Amino acid sequence: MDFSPLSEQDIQEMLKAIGVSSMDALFQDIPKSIRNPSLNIGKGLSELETRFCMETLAGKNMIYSSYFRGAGSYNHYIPPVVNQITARNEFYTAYTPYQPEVSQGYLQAIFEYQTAICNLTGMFATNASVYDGANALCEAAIMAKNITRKNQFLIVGELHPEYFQIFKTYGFACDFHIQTANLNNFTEKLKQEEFAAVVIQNPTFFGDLHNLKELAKKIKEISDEVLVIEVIIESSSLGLLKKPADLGIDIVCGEGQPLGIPMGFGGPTLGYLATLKTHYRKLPGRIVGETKELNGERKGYLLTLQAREQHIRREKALSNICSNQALCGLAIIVYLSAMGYNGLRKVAELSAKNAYYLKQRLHEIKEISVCNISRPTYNEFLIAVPKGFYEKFEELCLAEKILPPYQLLSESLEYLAQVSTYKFENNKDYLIACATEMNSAESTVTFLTLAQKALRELGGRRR
Amino acid sequence: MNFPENLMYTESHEWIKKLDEKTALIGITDYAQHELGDIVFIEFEPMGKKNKKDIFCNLESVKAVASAYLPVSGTIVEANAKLAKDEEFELVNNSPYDKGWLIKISLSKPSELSQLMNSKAYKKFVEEAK
Repeated sequence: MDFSPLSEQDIQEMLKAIGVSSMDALFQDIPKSIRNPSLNIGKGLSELETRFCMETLAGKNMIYSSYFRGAGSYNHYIPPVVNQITARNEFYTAYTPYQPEVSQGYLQAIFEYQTAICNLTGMFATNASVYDGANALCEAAIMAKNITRKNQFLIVGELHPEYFQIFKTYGFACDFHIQTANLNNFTEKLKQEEFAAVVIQNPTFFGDLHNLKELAKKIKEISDEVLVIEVIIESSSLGLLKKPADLGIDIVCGEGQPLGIPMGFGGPTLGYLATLKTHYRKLPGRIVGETKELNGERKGYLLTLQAREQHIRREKALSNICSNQALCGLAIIVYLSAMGYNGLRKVAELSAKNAYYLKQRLHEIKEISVCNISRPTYNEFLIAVPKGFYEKFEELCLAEKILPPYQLLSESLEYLAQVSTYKFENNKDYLIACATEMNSAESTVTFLTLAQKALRELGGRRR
Repeated sequence: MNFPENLMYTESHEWIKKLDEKTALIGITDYAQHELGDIVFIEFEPMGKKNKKDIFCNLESVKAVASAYLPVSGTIVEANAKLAKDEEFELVNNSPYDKGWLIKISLSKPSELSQLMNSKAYKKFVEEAK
């Protein structure tokens, strides 16, 4: 929507119409001393000066030539058509227009986004998106609580530690009781109490791929009332993996960033949330529906099932979220349309292959061991390195503008030890390495060379 | 607007009809269905023991969601299958006092019935509310 300031003539006509002689007279009730005070924001800059200023600021950003880190945010190729379309001024707005009479284009885009998410996950219904993956998990948990009327949750396996933190924050206000288990002891815990849902991330924080079908079956055998929530953060994996709906998952929630949204500084991204037909009425937030005109065959789009929402149902609404990430949703539908099924599959295959190569090569290095070398992984894996290695390696990588793997934070080790079957040794550091279709063979060779160099320097220092 | 004489009414616009000494049917009044408009979904609370004024179902219309509250204490023993299973929600709009009944309860304090309004009092209540 365009914004045109009033002309001097407009102002005079409007003043005359309300019978006020001047702007000063209009604002006479406001003390002169606080009227238009001079602000200490400097003089305006010319276009050229502004450009220099912004370029200097932008130059402070570190732009990496290659990334070996995922752990929640993934470097995938984004075709230019995504920016081209999302930057159109019909779409590029902070406010998402929802009135059907003026917003058919945007509503249709959101509807198509929803269709794509349902196709990817195999689920019956999804909403117009929530803020990010962790937020989607928390909304999934609220759904599970509403459906089962229970508030116990069991996290099985390595859920991202930041997601765990946010889950606990929501839990504080939503009265969730959150327990943790690993693959070896979860059945025992499940038998002890009645749970609303089991939360499983796949691929896990460490990159492992679960046999979800078998896991879900085991869970349902213990209790057919407990729901299975799957968290997907590396959503490009859906290009290769089976659809959650076919594996016994009740609610799938995830992070949309890997599907055409730049990493930015960690946002903005998008969270998706999809479920089976049995639970769609508990799905929170906006949902765009397709309908027909009253007297005709033309299709139209509008928000549907709004009575569940905050502006109508007040404190009894399913969620306190009354918005969505429309622009990011648009980016995803443009990305998926450009890639197609085969394109997304190729992205996933290349990511998995590049990561597999890196995994094998790193494991060949004597001082480094890949913890999940014998387990199936997607495009990330966990490596154990000698203490002191990472600091050296990071320095070498940054000099080459390579973003090195993610180092597990000591404060999350206690939590990870509860949900993982891996044993963490005190004399090691643990890193999560990642590759996508963007990791070239050359950059992988450089990366491995730097790892060797860091180990040599570390060894030399010790001698 | 219809106010059958064999029913008792609440200020939150539910009716209750005694079937025998122990059981009763509960629904929402003609006035309530009219105010809500076309009902598109009803979510029933699970069967079981409840107190007077507890929510026993949520009725969703095109424009709003309203909760229905128990006029008296008791145990919910049945939800109208035409609604809960067959999803013929229009019955609540078309036949609020008959085919569109919501739940059947087993009364735990039958004396509470006498605290409710009769047809005449409810009619007056609704007219004053307008």
